[in-house]
Amino acid sequence: MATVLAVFELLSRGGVIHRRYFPAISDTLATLWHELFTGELWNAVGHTLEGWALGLGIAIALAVPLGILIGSGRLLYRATRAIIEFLRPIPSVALIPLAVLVYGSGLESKVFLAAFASFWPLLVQTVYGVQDVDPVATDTARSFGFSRAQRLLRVTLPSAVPYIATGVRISSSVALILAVTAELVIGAAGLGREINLARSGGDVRLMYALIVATGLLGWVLSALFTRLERRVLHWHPSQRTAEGSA
Amino acid sequence: MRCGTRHTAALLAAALVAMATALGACGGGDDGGGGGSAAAGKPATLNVGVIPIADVAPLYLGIKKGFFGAEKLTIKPVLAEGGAAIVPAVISGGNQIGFSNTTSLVIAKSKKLPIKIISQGDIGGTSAADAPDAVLVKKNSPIRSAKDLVGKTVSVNTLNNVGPLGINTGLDKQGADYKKVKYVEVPFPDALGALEAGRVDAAWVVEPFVTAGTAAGYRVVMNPFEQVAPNLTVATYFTTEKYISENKDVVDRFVRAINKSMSYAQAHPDEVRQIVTTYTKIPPKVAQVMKLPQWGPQLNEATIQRTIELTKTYGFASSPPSIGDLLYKG
Repeated sequence: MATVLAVFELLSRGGVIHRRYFPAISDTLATLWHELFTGELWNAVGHTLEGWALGLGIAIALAVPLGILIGSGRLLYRATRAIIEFLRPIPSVALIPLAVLVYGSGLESKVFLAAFASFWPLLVQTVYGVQDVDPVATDTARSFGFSRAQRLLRVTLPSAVPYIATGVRISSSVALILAVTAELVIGAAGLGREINLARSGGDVRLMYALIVATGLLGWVLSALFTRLERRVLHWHPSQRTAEGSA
Repeated sequence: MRCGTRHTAALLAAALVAMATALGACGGGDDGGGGGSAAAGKPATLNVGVIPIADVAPLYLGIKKGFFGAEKLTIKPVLAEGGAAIVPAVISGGNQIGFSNTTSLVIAKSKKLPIKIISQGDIGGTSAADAPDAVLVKKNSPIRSAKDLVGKTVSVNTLNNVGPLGINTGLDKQGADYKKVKYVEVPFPDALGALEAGRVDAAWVVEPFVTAGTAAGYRVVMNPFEQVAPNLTVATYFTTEKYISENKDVVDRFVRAINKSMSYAQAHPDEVRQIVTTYTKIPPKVAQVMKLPQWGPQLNEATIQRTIELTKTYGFASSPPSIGDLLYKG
């Protein structure tokens, strides 16, 4: 990390990239520090998080139940696989014109794009998680006379939860990327739009400061999810080895 | 199996629809006040698509000074990333009014888009001395005057638009072959970096990048707007024919208020320099010294006519509209 920062600093100060157009990282961080005490930055962060949270929330609400449903039946899985594999690789960014047409250039477009993009990784993770349930465990539960609902609640879900958690973590960063992209391209309020304003105003330092802020936001969100995962899933085998190493 | 596929495809489709409708409900962006038609004198809310540059300062000043309020208009400026996004937003009705450069509107009209120019947007310099746009070259560049651009790479923000229109005109005047200029598209914010890195030989930019560029030691070789005509109507406010026919009164009130704002902005450059820093991120130091465009309540029709002719001359629009077709005159 320190090495990367030093390289950037030297690139700019050493004149490899002109300092006027790519400020030294120390200048960028100084600008960011200054911005931390203005309301504008936090306001933008708030707008970005709003789009991220709504988009991710909608994706979770739809992808998890659907994933469990699809993952539970062989037939259903085979039937949907083609359509999922067709829709999943569509880059959400390509849907921007559609989003603008249907939802305009505000929050709704941003949420739609974030939800669409983060829906797929979570759906796929959930399907795999449900399929990976130990058949012996399911059969045992069945022979003990557990009902379908009970089996879902006591066997399938606990076993699939680590997959879902990973899916949520991936989807979270996807949703953030799309939220910022929508702000950059469509001009919805948030960090992306601030970056664009700084760019078109010729304030290069502020632009890079905001870009760093966006990166930090992604890092914080990802760290939060990793922590949450560990706390909630401390009982699960997948977390036991991770405990010591990180 | 076939049946199953169809069933689950429908299920997935339903999920996507649910995603879409859930969004409709979570809302928050638009209060729906914009689109409705207003009877004479009724309050109205207008979404106006603009770009974050000094040129749209009169709109913000007019809001602040109450010129729009006096006409019972609530103006919501909608910042777009570039002019290209504004026309579709107005056509689709998301924005009622938009700000766009005249050349783009001439081209849009020639493609049969149902738009009309309703008022002045901003005016270029009276001469090279106060031009808010410039073609810049590095200090040690062999390019000394416009005709030296022949055979060189010149960056413009949009091909086949007002930049090349002005540069071609300037070259024509000097008897140089404009067809031998190699235009490349580079957004204004990136143009000076491209010039510094040597990726282009010359860069056409507008303020605040003219000030930033000359401060960095680049030389001005020509001013394209001023080559087309002094006091060129660079940009205008426009709406759709449909909106005019349904809301003539609102449009007329907007035109009155924006014209008042134009005169006010022209007379109060200090207030312009201040308000520019509220809706753009132009550093205050630059905002204090950069060249401002001019503003006035009249559409400079002679220069719009010239723009129309030049779009045909340079092949940007094969059958450009007549000026009568392009302008709304109340």
